[in-house]
Amino acid sequence: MTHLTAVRRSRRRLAGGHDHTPSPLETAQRRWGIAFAAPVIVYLGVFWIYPFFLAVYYSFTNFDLIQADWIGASNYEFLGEDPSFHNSARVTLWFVLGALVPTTVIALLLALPLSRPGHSSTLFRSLFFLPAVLPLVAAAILWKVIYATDGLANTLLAHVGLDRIDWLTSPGVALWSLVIMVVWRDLGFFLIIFVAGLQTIPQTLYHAASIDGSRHVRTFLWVTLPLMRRTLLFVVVIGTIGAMQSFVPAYILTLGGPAESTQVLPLYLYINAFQFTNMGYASALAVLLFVVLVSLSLFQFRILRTKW
Amino acid sequence: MSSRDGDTDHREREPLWIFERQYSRQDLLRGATAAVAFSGLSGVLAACGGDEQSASPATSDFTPSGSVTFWNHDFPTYTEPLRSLAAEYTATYDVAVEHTEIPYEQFETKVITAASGGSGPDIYKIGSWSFANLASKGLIAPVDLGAVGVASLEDLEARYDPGVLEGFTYEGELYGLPVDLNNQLLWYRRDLFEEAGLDPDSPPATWEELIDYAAKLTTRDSSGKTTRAGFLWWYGVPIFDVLYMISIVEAFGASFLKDDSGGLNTPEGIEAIQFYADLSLKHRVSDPTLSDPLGPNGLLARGRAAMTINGAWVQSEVESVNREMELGNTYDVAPHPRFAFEQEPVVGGYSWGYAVNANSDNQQTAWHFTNHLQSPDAASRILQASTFVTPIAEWKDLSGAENEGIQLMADQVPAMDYGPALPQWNEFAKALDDALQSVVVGNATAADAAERYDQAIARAVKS
Repeated sequence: MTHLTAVRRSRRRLAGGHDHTPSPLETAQRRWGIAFAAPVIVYLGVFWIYPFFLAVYYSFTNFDLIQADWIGASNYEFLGEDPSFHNSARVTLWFVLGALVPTTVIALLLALPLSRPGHSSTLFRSLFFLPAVLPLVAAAILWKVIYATDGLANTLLAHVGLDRIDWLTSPGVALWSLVIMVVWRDLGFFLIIFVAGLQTIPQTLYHAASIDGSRHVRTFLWVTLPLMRRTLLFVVVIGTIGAMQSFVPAYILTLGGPAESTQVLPLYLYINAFQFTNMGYASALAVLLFVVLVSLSLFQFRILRTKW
Repeated sequence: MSSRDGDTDHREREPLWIFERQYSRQDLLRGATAAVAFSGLSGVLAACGGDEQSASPATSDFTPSGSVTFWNHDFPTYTEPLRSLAAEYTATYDVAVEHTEIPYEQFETKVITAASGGSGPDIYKIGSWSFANLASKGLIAPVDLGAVGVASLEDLEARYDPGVLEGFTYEGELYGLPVDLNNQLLWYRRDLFEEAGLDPDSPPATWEELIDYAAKLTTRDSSGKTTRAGFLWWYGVPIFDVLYMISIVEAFGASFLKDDSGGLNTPEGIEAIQFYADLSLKHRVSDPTLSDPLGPNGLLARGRAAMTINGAWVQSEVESVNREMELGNTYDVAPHPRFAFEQEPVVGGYSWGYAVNANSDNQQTAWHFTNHLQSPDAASRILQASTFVTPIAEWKDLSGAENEGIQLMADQVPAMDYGPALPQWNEFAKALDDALQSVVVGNATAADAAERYDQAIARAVKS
């Protein structure tokens, strides 16, 4: 059988044709496909799927790293009573909003001029992306020094005649200090994604809009933004997931303080798991976080839905 | 307990001092033989053992063998004498010692996950506050009296300062040997005292005096923000809250625990919480908004704080931040303040200790090596290099103990209190920290905070 014949047969079969006998080529392709996909499937199964179901199981137990007795939905019931969890949920909500919205807006606005070809665009894109390359822990330690009472931030404020800010020690300010750090770090990454998205928009559309008399703002709202929906969806979804799972900034800079004002949910989960060894409750928190993230992602897909 | 990064220079190697896991075939064969022999021996011993602290044959009948692995958190001045002591042990007993340093922030997490996973090294260096938790879960082994060369627990206790081993005891059984001893001292800036018109040779002895001194030492800018705190707690770090409050709670006649719940929701407990918070809220001599990567130690070194309370290890930190800091000249140390009304003040203290992994297949050798680190020579070398006090009975006479801070610490040992030893220590410390910080930032009254603390303890004990 020729290769062409085999391909025709497989197309007919895909179209609902009557030829059910797989050709040797199809069989070989299937086997090779499974062989190449097997390592990844095994990896996902061992390190993602199995631990996920194990965590769900543990969330119904009092697992403390030694033994796990079934306690039903007690851990989930306690979520309703736990004041620290309620606080962490509130803090996380503000953190996600505070990190996601400005990062997305600033990155998109910066991407507009930086998507144009040119050496200066390339240079600035690289500069903005540098923080994303820095290891997160190193970045957090750097910002801890910047935010110190006698650190760079307050030194600059003093130079322009402004009062010192208690960046990490004032309950009303500390969370926003973390947000600033996260925005600084994620901005470059979001920027690159937006630049890539903008560069897929045909220039003819802008020419047409210009001929029709559309100015910058109208062009942005009616040409650029609709065509960036897919990119925007991707950025918003991964940005939300990243912000909701953010742990390192709070852990390094504030340890959840002052007075739990920066105790985001992942940090509270960590404390329960590895300081209190209350793995059962930590697993319930993890499952809840997963459900919330999936729900949010689906909601975002719906809002920013495009035809695929 | 410093959070500085560990010593990364691993290039120099002593014979059989292994950083990377490279064993010769002979080492592996020797280790396997020892493990098989030990398994048989331990089976016999288990059959013979009762409920008392394990009493295997005395040291003269015991020959260490195989290899031991050892984890401790990073502290460069401690690592140097440890390496040479380990090398000497290897040369004497032909036992390989593999040592790993782990950054302090990750250390407890790494220990608990390794231990509960059945892996981990033979020996951990862990805080006294962790012993109850690990012992209650069966993750660490009781001290092997024979391997450490004693016939009874009383003989072992006689080797150390009185009461020192309490921090490593859980339900009457001893699970560790001390690495060091720390109790709280008052550290202050002599130059700032002089500047404020105070006599640097007469530091405050009572809390009442301290508040008075601190008021004179505190300075503010035109907008009212504190530029220098007369005194500074280390805010927001649970273990330091415990160390501070041990003496304060005792002084007010309160208690951290009561039955299976918290014990601070009493008039005395509320008063103790209020006292802690009042240093910033009422007296305005402490300020939680001042921050430094090294906490109050860094702020003391930079002149942003005039006094703070911490262990003897403050010296190495302040002198690393500010080279002009010189003990007895720029800054000095004094005993922990007490209340004027106190009859028998106590001082919060803690220790780091050596624990042996319950899953180790070379426990006796592990205890034997640990015992090697407890000799007067070892204690002296560790003391001189790091100011860590290994609290053997004769430590005050060792070379290096003449340091002023260490002598003051020695004087306070009889009054030292480790605080509650409970498996839920981390929950207890976090609940206390949450209570204190909520009052300090104005989110709660002392009464509300005490009630919330008691509830948190009740939940922790119940779970």
